[in-house]
Amino acid sequence: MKRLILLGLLVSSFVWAQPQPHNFSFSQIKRIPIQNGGRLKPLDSFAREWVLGITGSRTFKGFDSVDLILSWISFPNEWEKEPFIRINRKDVKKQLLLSEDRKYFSPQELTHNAAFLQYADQIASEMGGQGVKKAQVTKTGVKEDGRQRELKTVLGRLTSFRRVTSGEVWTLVPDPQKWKSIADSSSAPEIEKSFKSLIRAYVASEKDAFSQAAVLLKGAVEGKMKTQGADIQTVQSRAGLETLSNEIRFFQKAWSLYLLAGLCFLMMWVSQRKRWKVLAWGLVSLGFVFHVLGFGIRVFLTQRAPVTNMYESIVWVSFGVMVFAFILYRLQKKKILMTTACFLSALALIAADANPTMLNPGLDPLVPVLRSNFWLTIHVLTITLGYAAFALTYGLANINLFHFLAAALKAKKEKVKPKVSPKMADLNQLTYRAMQFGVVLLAAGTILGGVWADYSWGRFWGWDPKEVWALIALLCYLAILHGRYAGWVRPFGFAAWSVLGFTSVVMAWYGVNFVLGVGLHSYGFASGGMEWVATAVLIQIILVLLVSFFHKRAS
Amino acid sequence: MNALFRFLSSLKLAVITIVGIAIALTVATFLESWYDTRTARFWVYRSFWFYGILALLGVNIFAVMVDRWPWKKRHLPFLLAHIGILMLLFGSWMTYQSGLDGSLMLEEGQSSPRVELEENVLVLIDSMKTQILPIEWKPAHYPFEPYSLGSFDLEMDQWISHAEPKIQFSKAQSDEPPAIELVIEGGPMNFEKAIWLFAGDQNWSTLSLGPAQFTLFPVSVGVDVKQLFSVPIRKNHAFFWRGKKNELHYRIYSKDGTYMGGSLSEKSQETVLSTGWMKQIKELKLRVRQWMPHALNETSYHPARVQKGPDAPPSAIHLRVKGKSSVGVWLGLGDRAVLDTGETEIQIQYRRKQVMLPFSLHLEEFKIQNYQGTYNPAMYSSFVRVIDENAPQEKIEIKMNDPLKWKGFTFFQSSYVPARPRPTISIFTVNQDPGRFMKYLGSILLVLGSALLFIRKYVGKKGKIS
Repeated sequence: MKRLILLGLLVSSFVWAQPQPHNFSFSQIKRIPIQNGGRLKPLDSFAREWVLGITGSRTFKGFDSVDLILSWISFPNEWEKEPFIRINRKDVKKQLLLSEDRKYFSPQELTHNAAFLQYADQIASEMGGQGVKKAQVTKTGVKEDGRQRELKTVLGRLTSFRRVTSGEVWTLVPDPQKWKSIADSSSAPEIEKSFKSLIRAYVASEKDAFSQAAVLLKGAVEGKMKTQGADIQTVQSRAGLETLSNEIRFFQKAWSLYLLAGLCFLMMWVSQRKRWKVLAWGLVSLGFVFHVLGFGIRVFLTQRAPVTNMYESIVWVSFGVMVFAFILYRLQKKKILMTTACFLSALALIAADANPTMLNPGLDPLVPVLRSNFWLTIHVLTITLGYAAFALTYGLANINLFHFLAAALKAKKEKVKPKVSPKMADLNQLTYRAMQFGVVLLAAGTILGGVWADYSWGRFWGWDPKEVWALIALLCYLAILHGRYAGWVRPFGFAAWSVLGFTSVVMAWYGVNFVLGVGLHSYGFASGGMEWVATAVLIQIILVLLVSFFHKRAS
Repeated sequence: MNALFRFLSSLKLAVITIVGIAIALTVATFLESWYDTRTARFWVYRSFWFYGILALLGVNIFAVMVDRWPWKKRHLPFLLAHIGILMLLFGSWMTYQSGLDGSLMLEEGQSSPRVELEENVLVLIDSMKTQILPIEWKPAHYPFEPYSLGSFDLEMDQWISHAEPKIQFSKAQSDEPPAIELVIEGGPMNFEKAIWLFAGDQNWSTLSLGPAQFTLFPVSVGVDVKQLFSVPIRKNHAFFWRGKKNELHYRIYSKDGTYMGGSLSEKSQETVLSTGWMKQIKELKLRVRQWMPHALNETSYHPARVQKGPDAPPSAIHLRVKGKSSVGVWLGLGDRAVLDTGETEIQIQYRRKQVMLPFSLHLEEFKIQNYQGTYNPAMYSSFVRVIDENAPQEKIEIKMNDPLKWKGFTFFQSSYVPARPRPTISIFTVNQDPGRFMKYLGSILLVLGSALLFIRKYVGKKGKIS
């Protein structure tokens, strides 16, 4: 390995220039199996995950992920000077005395930064001190603030980069226990040799030699797996499928199509021509096919229900929104349903897609408590379908609020009392239907959660924050429904409360994991995005208040 | 009476209680996030007013059902849903009244019938009698009044909800092990931290602080120093020991394995020793604040710095003999002590409440399996035997989601104590729930009823619209 780096050094000292993308054909190398993060994955996924982890974005300067990660290990010295480590927060840049206008910084800048070094030392000593007895040194127990978290992330990015260039993370040598890294392997000469020739070809920019070396490396790794008793055909087909789904990015296709479909549905109000209808339905169906395919492949690859983290649950909820829209459309034939659902679903998928550092799209393995469990699967799928129904409720009620606003303004102008038009009544009726779906599913899902908890922890109900918030959301909607039944919640109130009620779902779904961060559902805890969610909720509340103000004034 | 019934069976009350419960629960989850689970339980989940609201909800539902009498076929969905809720509430009450939810920790080869519960008790024993008194957990800012303990001449006069032990050292004459207080100071971040080392207790004789280690040898006079330093790793390690004339010897190894050493007389105060640590930036120094060639230790408790979250430590109590304020003792959870009242000796233990099962569980083997190439557990399970009449002789596997049931008790694999090379201590949740059937039946009725309620409404309304 040392020789390899030396080689890179030698070549690079002649061509002292910015590393450029090679844009070779990477189709062979992408499918090479590698063990990383607790599972076997194709090198393509491995490269994508590390590139995302280090640069904080999916692509960097037009490099393909595999291209970039190969470039890192081939030209480590050039990359030392290349700014590609992302720092987002201004206060962190300020603290490190770095220019606040820049987004990316080079490893060299960071390793020569005294303030950063001091921080790294502090982290290292914190890590080393973990074994200290509680009575003598206690952790301060204060939640990390965003600045500290960012510093830690930056430090992590730097170390990750070093681990990539040192070859440590390239665990390409199959072993029944734990795959060996290419840096400390002596037991697999073929793998080592072909890896070296791969890098040599990459450094020398020799396209054909590179392709040959890639084929050799793939053969060597798979050959070794075979001698250890692995079923190569399965490995190959799974790697192929995963690479394919990485490249197609099904959910991205799905949201683009939903967005277009939504626009076409909107056009149906403007134009009576049939082509819009055909186009809209064609697009939404195609989008749905991509959505389902993306899901199916995910389930096939992970062998589990696709709702174990925030990313997956958003994708599942947007799927649920579409399903409910289809069902309700069959029953009530209102195109506003499809319009709402398309935009809602597209927005959710965009949110899930836009921030891969926060919402991890990786196919990570599960913690033991979540494994192979029938009840869990049923429980989570049901409860999140409930969220989907409420999302639809929320979307429809929001549209209705705008009708109410328009009606209120118009009534004010004409100096009459605002009336509930048939359109508004219809929308409320649809909202009501969707809410019923939601209430039944959420009730069933929460209870199924109890059944699961009883089955695997031995208690039906334990006031765990996640279960409590599911219950709170349920109670909120029950209060709305009972209020409506009693006649206290009038048509306008119903629309307004249906919008506000969704706050409880946001809290149950996102808030417990990202804001409260306590309880037994800790496997889903994460952080980030709070500013965005809080702002969105706040804007929504202000909007509702504004509309109610106009509505009150007019009536 | 009629007015009261009308109020109790009103939709208004239903909406108010529903909203009330929702608000209470919201507050509880935030309490849990800001403080901890115990605080949320104390103020909401286990508080009498919360039970009150739940009871009110039950009464309300019951009254509404009575109000609908005589029931007709069209009432069926409504009745199912609401009877379901009543059954859920009743089942939960049964669980609360006579259910068991505790934990059982076993090491391989060990067997035990003892299940630990979450509540705390105080066990008091003297030559005449034994008493077990429940100690209710209260949050830090809740006013505490001293109270007497059963028929003993004792009272509990202090309560700390999250307590940290503090060991104090005092100079003793001779035959006692040494203790030293050091202040670590300087370094690139102008660090300052005081630590105690005490040779009389293994937990206190060596301390790690980041990469640095500190050791006070329990041995003294006449020991061959060379033999002392057969410790394999001697980097960033400061050693101290007592010499023949009660002087303090030290030897401080730096990062590269070189050391500087010397000795200080018993009387010398506030001497600063250089360490050679972090020399390239700014050196860390050690100041000897107190040196006790012979020391005694005494444990007391004070409120912990960590007052919330899962890392917050358990509670501690202080007891004293009635009328003699000077005779008292601190007890952390799990501690034992003996207190002499002048008339009799009382043995005291502050611990979790325990329940003895009518049989024992024996742990044969604990197995753990990691995800490929990592230390992240993928699955773990325990092989156990039930020690009881008529119990099967063969080993039974308890794993996640696959519990063992015996005589109405259910054993779940809930956790283990992590250890290298492999963990050998398994933790089970032990559970007995008389309300289970009621809760399940209630759940089914509730879901069925609410689904029917909406389907029926849908069919009905559709007819009206068209």
